[in-house]
Amino acid sequence: MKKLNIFLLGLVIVVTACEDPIDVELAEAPPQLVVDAWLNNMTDQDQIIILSRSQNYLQNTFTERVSNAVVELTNISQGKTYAFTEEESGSYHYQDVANPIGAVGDTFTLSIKVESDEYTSTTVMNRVPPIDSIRQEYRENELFGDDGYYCELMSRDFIGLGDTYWIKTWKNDQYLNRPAEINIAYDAGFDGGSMVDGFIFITPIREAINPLTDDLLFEPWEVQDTIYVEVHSMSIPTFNYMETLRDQLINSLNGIFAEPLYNTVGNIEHVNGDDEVLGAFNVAAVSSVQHIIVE
Amino acid sequence: MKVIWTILPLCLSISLLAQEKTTVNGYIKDSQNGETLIGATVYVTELGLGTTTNEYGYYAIKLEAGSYNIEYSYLGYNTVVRSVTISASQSIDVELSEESIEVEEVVITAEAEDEKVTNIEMSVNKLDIGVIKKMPALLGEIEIIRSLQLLPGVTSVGEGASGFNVRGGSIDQNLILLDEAPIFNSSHLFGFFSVFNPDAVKDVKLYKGGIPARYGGRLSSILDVRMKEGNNKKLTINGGIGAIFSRLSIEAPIVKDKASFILAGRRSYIDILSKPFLPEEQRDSGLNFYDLTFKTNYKISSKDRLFLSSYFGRDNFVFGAQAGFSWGNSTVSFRWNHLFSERLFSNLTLYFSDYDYKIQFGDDTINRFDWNASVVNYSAKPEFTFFLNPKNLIKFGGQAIIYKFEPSNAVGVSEGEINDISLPFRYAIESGIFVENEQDVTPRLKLNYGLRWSFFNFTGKGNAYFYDEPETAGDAKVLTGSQSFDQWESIQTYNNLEPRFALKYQLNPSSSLKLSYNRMAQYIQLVSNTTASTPVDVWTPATNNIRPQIADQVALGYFKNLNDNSIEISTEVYYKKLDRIVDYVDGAELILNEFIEAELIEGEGRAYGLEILTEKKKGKLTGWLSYTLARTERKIEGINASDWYPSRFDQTHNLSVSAFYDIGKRWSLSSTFTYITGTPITFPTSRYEQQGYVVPHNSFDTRNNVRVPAYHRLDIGAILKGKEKPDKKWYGEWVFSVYNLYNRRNPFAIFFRPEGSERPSTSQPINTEAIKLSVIGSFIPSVSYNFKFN
Repeated sequence: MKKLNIFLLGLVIVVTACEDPIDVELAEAPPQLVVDAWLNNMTDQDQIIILSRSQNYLQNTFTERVSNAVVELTNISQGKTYAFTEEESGSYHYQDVANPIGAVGDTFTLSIKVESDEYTSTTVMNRVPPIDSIRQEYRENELFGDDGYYCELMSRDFIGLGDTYWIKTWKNDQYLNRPAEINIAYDAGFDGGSMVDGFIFITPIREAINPLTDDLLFEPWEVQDTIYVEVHSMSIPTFNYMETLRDQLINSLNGIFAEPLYNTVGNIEHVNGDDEVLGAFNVAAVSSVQHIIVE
Repeated sequence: MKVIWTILPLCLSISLLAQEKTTVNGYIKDSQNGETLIGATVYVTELGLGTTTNEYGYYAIKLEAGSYNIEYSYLGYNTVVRSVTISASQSIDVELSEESIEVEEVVITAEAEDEKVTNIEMSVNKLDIGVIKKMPALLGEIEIIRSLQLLPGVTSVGEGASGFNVRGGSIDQNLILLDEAPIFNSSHLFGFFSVFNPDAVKDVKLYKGGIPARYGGRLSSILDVRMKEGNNKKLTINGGIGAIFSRLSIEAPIVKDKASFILAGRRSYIDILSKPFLPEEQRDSGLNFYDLTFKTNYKISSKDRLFLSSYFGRDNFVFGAQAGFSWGNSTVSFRWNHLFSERLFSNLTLYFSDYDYKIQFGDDTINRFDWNASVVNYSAKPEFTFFLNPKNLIKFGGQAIIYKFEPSNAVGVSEGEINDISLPFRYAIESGIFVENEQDVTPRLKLNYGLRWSFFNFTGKGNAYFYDEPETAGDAKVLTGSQSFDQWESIQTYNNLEPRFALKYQLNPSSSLKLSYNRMAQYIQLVSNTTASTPVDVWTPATNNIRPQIADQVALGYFKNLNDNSIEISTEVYYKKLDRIVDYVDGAELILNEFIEAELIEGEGRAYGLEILTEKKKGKLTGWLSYTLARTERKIEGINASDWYPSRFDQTHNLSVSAFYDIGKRWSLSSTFTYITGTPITFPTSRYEQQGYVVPHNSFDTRNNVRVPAYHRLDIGAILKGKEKPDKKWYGEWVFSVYNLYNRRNPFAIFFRPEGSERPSTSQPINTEAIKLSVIGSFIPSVSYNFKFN
């Protein structure tokens, strides 16, 4: 609940406030290994793990990739190991069109070897609820958007606390990738503390599948637009990770009500050392739905 | 503990024994409107001794039978000298007139105005409401809390932030009292305006240190705001039309010299003014805020007087029928002054105070969300002032407060399914007893020593939760169980002895040294991890998991008056140690979270500094210069590698100059300048890529490691007074001001984020940048008109 209300407050402040780019000097930090390993049970696409390194915050280039690593995924429950091969620099792929890498409830271990350093992480593929439908509605006088077609994702959270989801949306095959469009749910609500369990996703989560404009208002859909939504199951550590990531990226919208900068906490360990590894490892079960906007 | 039980009866027995001595007592009032004067001086010339009036304008002084000249004085007022021959106790009520008013009774002016030097109080600032009204103000709105920030040791995290920070304390460490009832949120429109209507305020006093034993419950300061009683001589109407508010107050006698009242209201009108210019669908949207202040008093007899004060204020944000958000305070305080004898003055306060907010989304019954929260408290507070003899002034009393916290009553309806995610209420009782004595040990040495014993009981009805410490410092605690308790069943108790001490040593007639120590305990706190506190932040009591916070402060000061008391200089150094202060785990969920205690971490703090205040109080040019050199730091397990770090409102240098100049009888000019070292914030070091997003990261995990650029600002103002004639009923004045004259975009914070507002491209690297946020982006001129009718 927190985010929405703070956003509401922030909006008012923005009216009087102004923002200017400023030159600052940042402390130099040694590059850290970054693991970007968000896998799923889908078979129509490569499973991809990207290894890279962090760089100075104001260095506006793609970050350095880490090549020649040994990347292996083990489905412990099924006793299978998948070797990931480096297709592009730092991008490690596994493809088996016929079979998914595992099933809901399976435990997975990721192991990565970069030169002499070894890294590992373990996670479980959690359950994901089926999607009932996408509901479309023509709306006028919306608070945060123009008149037009708005969509809602109709799906019910499982009964039992602690199911977490990442809801991803594509508009006409374009992935909605604004930080403010990151739509994650803890049970049917925003976070664990409020315990909104076993319900249809609450309204702001159902509606967060609508794209945002440059001004972060809702952009209504037009007739014939295609909306495609995937719900990915997460683990609680990766939910917390993604919540921090999102909060940090949109923190400036909170203006005077911003929180202090704090770091994401990943779930990857350095086996033969104590270097902090950035990034996260998640294996998702996915439900999806597609809908074409009609008149 | 035992000490108190022996001192209390002692005080009472002394009062009985001392009956046959003669006493001069009475009230000191303003001759124009009958308002009692707080802190006015009574000085017996022959004895070289004196006293001051208390918060109710009452004084008493014990004298041997004989003839005396007694001087009654108050800053800005003509001094009155009465020659009296005393054979038995007698009451002398005195009315003083403002210096600008010519009267016949004046004998002397400008004597005994060295109060700051001779008084034992240190670390105390009194802001004269008349001076506050002269200051250049943002949008022309007279602002008490913003004015306080021009005094040493008082800061804010930035423009627009609610509340204020005193000597390194957080905003919830200030006890803000309006006629003795606490105000939980002192701001309108987040932090832009304070809740106090200047037309209804008589006296503002801020205790930053050397806090007397009669005050307790917060670590860092007491802001004691006293409302006017209302003109008891004639009907007076005050009002103002400004850019933001309109104000109107009415005060009048009900029974002349016996009963009077004041009713004062303000309302903002941006919503009304903007309505015709908005598209039709937005006409039901807008924001407004208002407050109403009411006070009445009745003098039953020369021994009994009753006061009833009430405040109600609200901020409303309305977004048509689809959403609404409102918050506000309300207080009612009832007080009874009773004289047991000429020398034993008592006051009993009963008050109710409430802060609450309401949020609503959704305009239908199928999908909606209603949420409200509040903190309510009821209190009884008897206090006694015993004018033992001219050398000893004893105060004693107690207080009991019952708290009810409603952290959130929230009901969501999703597709017709009702989901009640309300949190259980929490209850607590806070109480305290105190005794203090102000003693003239020698003509040079004066002491104020006291002791407060405070007691807190966190009670049912409700659940107590039990947690284990986390494996890694800085993580949330781990819930291990809970237990349910009945109404008023004790869950956890705490108590603290809080010694208070102050000393003044007069070096010579124009200079003195002062020393003070106080220990304070705080049992309730505002849970907030945002830079500026939001209206939805909740107050929470000390529980079995959150221990009360403790502060110890020592201060040493040198006070000097120059040029026949026309210039006052005070210099103070202080050191404050804060224990068990609260911080939060990273990403803490503090709202709608039943297990909020798991997200709180205990730590320690320290604050130290040097404060210099130079005031010029006489002449055409008046004003002050305030300088603070300070540091405030925190040390919390799991934050900043468990090492000391500066708090978000740490300001190394804070300089302000306030100047007022009268040109002739009608024009007066004012100007304030402020320079503040930038506050520290956390900068990232690195960026990394994850799922197409560029994420900031601070590899060293340091907190508040870099400072934003310095803040400085010049404001100017001018007042054009209407022509004053004795028989004129209507009096008006124009107030002009320019806030932020040289148009500086002062930084509030620096953010790190992706550049531009376009949808991120996947084929290009994402540019990241540092952005400076300025809350006030330009200079702001304003004109307002104030009037008075009587």
